[in-house]
Amino acid sequence: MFHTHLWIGVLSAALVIVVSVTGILLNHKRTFGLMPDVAGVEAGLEGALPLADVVRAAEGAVGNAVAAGGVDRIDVRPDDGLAKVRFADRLVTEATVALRTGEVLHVGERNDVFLEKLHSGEIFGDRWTLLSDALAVGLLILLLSGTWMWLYPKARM
Amino acid sequence: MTILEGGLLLVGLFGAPAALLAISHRFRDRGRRGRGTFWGGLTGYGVGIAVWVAAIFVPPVMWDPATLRLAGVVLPLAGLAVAGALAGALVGRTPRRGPKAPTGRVLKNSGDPRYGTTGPASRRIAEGIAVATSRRSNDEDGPVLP
Repeated sequence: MFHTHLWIGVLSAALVIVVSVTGILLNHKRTFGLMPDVAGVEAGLEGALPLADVVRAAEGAVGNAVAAGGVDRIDVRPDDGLAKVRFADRLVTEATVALRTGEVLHVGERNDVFLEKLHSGEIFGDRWTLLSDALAVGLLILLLSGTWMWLYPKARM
Repeated sequence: MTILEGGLLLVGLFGAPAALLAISHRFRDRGRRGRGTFWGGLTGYGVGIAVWVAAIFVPPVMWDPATLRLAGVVLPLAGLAVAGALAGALVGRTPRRGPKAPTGRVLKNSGDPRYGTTGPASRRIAEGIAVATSRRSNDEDGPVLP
């Protein structure tokens, strides 16, 4: 039990550091400026522009180099009256567009997307999420083995 | 990330600490080179983690292939651990305090009184002093204890 605890603890140390740091940064991503924080405009979908027009406005704001990578996703916020158009470029550029007027309110990077992928291990490749799973299982084993050694300190197996 | 880069990263993430843990097994029975290898490797790995984390997070955007930053993501864990271990093996020395480190591994059935490290510290120190005193006549490193 002791050696299981020891080996899993040592082998998972580096990954625990990364997962902990990314978790803290993601919890406070607005505070650290890792994602844009744009104030809402007139709420509601009534009179909203078609999505194609919203995307066109966003593409015009980010430039051809970013727009060439295509749109990754569109996050429509009716309560705020805006849409966030995220592009599939390396920097994960996002343009925030007013739904009714097509005005571009903000253009910036979504650094939290990088952190989310790093947190899950996806940043290294698709199969690397298994590493994150293994780490989670390892932490559970650490929890159990630590509790066991605390309850039975003389049973140093 | 290519297979080679992924492999190097995995070696750094798991291979280096596993090797350090293996070296730390029966640490008191290690010679000066073994101890130096461990401490050098551990120091190198610690520095490697700091460099690795900095390379990953600064800036918080995806890295480009074949860049210095990618090298900072893939190499420092294994590279600095190995470099530290090599440096430690070169400059490793006999500890200044406590029983003198043996020059080689002490085998279980060799009858060497240095075998076994689970007794009280005072007994182990007394045994170490006895061994050191008996060998002082032909000791090249000078006196072990002040």
